[in-house]
Amino acid sequence: MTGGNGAPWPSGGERSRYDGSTVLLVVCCALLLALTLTASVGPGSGQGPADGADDGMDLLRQAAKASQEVSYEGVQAVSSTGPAGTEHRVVEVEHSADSGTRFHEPDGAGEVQVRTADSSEWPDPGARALDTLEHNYRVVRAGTGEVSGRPAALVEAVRADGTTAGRFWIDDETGLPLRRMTLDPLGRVVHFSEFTEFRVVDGAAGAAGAGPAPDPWGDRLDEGELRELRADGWTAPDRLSWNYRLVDARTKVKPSGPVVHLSYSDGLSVISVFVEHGRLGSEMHGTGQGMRAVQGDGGTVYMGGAGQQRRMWEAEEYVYTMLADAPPDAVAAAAASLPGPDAAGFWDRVDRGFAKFGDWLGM
Amino acid sequence: MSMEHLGERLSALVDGELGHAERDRALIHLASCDSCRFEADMLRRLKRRLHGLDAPDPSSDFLGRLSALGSVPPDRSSEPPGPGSGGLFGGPPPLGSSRPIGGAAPGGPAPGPVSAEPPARRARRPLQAPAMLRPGWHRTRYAVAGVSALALTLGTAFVAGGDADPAPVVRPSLEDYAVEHALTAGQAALPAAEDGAGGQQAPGTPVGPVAHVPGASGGDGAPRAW
Repeated sequence: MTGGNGAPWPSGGERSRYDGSTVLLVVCCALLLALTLTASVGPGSGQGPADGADDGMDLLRQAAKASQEVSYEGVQAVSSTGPAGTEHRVVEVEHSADSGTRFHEPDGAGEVQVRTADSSEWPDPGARALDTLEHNYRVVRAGTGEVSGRPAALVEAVRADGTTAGRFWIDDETGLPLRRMTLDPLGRVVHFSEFTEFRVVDGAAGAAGAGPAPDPWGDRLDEGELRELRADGWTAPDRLSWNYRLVDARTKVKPSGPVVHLSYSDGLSVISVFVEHGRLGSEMHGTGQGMRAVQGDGGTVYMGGAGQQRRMWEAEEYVYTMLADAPPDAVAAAAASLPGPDAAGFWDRVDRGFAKFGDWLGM
Repeated sequence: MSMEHLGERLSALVDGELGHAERDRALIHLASCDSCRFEADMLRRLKRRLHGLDAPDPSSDFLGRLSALGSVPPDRSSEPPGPGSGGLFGGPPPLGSSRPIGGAAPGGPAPGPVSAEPPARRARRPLQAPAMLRPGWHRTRYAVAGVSALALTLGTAFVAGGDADPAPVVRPSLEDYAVEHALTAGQAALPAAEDGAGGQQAPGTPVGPVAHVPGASGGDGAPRAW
């Protein structure tokens, strides 16, 4: 078709209208592309691995090794800050290089919970956490300091935008970390622990001397077992958000069925996700455990915890419980990467139906 | 006023194209000239009849070829239209040739039969139009089919999205989970007092002290194994 002037488009006003719609279409496509790109990058400029030399990683790896060689005892002050406030604790610590570490409240006593280490089928979770720390942050030496009268080297984990995500004070004599803190992107301390008293002791004395007790969570899941779980419908992603990587997976059998504990770490903080098949009771069990019901976009989430952040919800016939000592935005991002709470509306049910169609079709 | 007849100006008078003075002179001439007055009257009548004619309707042949559009071979449709090829739809006679358009030419000898044709054509039109030129029912049929398919799909998804076999009710053991989380995180985070409201707890599970095995977790607030 040609216009009156021989042009391949209608002449006059129709040509102008055609050009206008094309420009509008191009502008819309450009906006969509820009939105997609910005959404994939994330809102924070500090999101993404930090480049640069990690000259502090050797100190941290030595610290991990020192905990298996040095026995000590002392008093540790711990504080965790969440959206609901800050929680402080003081605990006595007895650590034996041979048998383990025991925490006591200053005037408390009780049984000892010991976990046997078995990393034959799964890469060592501690090493994975250190690898994740090195990948996510630039780990640098930042000077010296003093903790409990003991000289220490300061190591900082720096985000891609230059803000500090964590600090470690490594004892010069033993190589053990005596103080550490985790900070959110605004520089607020999220988690803090420090030895207010510290002394090296003989490794054979004290510390978990009662011997290891049976570990109910001792059944570690290897990669093959995780794949089977995923094939059966369990949610166990390799990552929560961009920086929290799966470093450990364990399971325990309750009377109601198995529970899977997935541990995600960015190298500084740990987010635990407990998954079990079932649903929460209509009597809102979460509220009976110090949790409050929060109505979200999709459904109900039970939230609680003073310093430690806790969330519980049900989705697609599974119940998720999340415990974290991490920055609130990281916890929110992690929760958003898991199946959202079930909703009871018509379209939510239709949406679940289509999701089942997809499962049946293998999509 | 001259007795010279109006000639070409007569047509302009009927069409209203004369100026004011020229029109007055022509009307004065018509008052005295029977020949010009008769001719002007004929022109006015002819003009009224021409205005009263409908636009020509498509012939039945044309409609038939239009309805056969879908069966036109691709090679035929790609042929360039021309006078000899019979146009896009092919074959003689040419479009609209099965019936004359309008009636007699202006000034023709027999304008009478023209007025009888339009009603006859309008009476035949609904019977001759092909189905594809009556889209109302087809559109409705497609709409009904689409709505039915959508309702069936949504209904099936709604049923499938329900809990045919509800999962069992479980109660997460928050205290147990808190100890396990502390072991994993390598933090001395004992269960908070607010948790004492009672989650289910396995026998022998401690509430107070927890311990970490070297290599499995640090006792210094560091994640497990470092």
